[in-house]
Amino acid sequence: MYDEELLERSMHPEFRGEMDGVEPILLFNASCGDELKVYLKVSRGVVVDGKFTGKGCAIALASADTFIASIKGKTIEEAREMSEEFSKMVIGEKYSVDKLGKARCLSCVSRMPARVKCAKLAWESLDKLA
Amino acid sequence: MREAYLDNAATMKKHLDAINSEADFYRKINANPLRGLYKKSVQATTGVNEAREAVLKLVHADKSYTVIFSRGTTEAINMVANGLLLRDDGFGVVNRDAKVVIDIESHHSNILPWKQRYSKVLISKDLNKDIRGAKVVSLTGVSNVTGQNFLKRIREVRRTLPKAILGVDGAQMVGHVDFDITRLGADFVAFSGHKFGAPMGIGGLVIKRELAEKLRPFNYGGEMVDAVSLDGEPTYSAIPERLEAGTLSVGAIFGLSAAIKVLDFDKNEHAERLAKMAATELRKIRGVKVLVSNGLIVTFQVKDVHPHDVAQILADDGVCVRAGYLCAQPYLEYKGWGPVVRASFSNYNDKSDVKALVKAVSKVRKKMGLE
Repeated sequence: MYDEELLERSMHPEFRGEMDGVEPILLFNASCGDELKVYLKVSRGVVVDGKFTGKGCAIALASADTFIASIKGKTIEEAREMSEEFSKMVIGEKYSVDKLGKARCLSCVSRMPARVKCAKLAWESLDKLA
Repeated sequence: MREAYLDNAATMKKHLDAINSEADFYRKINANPLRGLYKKSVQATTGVNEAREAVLKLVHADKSYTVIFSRGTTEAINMVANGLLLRDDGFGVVNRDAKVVIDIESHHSNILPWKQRYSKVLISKDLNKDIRGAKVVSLTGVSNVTGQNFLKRIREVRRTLPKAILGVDGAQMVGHVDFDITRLGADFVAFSGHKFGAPMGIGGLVIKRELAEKLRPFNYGGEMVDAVSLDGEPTYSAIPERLEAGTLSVGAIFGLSAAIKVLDFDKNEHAERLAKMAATELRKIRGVKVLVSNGLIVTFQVKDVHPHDVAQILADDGVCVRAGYLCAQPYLEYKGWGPVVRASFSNYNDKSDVKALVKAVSKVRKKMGLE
C-alpha cells in the first residue's frame, strides 16, 4: 500500500530536527491532528537547508521529509514549480516526473483523495515563506 | 473482497425500503407539496405530513412539539442557535451575551453554531458545576466518540434548570435509542435521518411549538410567507412552514418515513454485542489500546501508528472505519487522546465483520514495519 521509501522516511526521517536562527513555519491539518514546524534556511533566493519537527500520519511525515530532500539546493522559484508538480501528482493529474525527485514516493496518494491534505501540508510552507 | 462496513456512526447503510420510497416519490409523484391543488401535490403534502407524524411518534413527542425539517443535525442546531438570538426583528429570546452551556463531549456541530453567535459559550467539563445561570444548555445525546448515552445526565440538568432552554444533539441517539422527549422535558432535539437508514440530506428539529414560534427563520423565501407586499413586512406562514423556506427534500422525506417504519430498537442488542466482542478481541492484540467502548462504538489506537495510517491499512483489507478527531477535537484533546480510530456497528453487521476488523488491526504494526 505505502511505498517502502515512504514508510522508511516516515519512521526515520532524514531531516527531522530544529534549526537555530530560523523562524519555523507552522502548519496544521486540524481534522487529522497533523502539526508540523518547517524550518527553511534561504540565502539569496536559494533554499540552502531545511528541517522539520512535529507529528502526523506516515504520509504527512514522509512528505515533509521528501519535501526538504527535494527542494534543498533549489531556488524558491524552482521549489514552487516542484510544488505545482507535486500537487498535480497527488490529485492524479499528469505531472512531470523529472521535476519531482524523491517526492515521487508519495505518488500513491493519488489513489487516496482523503490524504491529499496530509501530503501537501509541508509543501504549503512555500506559500507562507516571507 | 468482502467489505466490513464499520463506519455506521458516520452514516448507516440505507434500508432498501427507504431507497425505494425515495425513488418511488420521484417516479410516481414528483410534485411540490403544500401549494398545489392537483392530486399528486396533495399526495406529496400528505406524505410530508405523515413523515412529521412519524418523527414525532419516534421520539414520543406529545402535542406540544412540532418538527422542522432540515438537511440534518448540523443545520438543525444552526437553525435553533440562529433563531433564538434576540435581535430587533421581533424574533429570538436569548441575548448574545447570555450564558450558553454545552458539554465537553460535543461534536463540532454542537459547538460552532453556538460559539459563532453567542459571546459566553461555556464548553463544560462538569455540568453540575457549570450550568447555574445558563439560559441555554445544548447537550450530546449519545457521544459519537465513546458511544456513551447521556439521557440520565440530560434529565438531571432538566431537574436543576426547569426554565432554561434545554436542547439535545440527537445525531447518534434518534433512531438508535428509544427515548421519550416529552418525559425528558427537552425543548428541542436535532437529528439526521441518514444516521439510521434514511437518505442523506434529511433530518430536523423536534421542538416545542411555543419555542418554535419565537425562532427567527433561517432562510427567507417561498413557502414561508402568506403575503408579501411591495413595501412593509411580509406576513409569515405558521410553524413549521415559516422555518422551512424553499422546496423541501420531499423524496428524502418519503425515505425518512420508510426508514422509521422499519426501525426495530430490539435489534440493537445484536450490534452492541458485536461492539463488545470487537473491544474484547482488540484488547488482546499487542500494541492496540482500546480507549473506550460503549453501545455501538469501539474507539482505539495502535501504538506508534497514526490513526489515519491504521484506517488506510484497514481500508486496504476492506474494513471501513473512521480515524482522526471525529469532529470532536476539544473532547479528544481534553481526554489527552489526540486522534483515534473508531469502529461503529449496526444491526446488519455480523461476526465476520468483527473477525475482519480484528485480523486487519493485528497486521497494522507489521505493515508499518514496526514488527
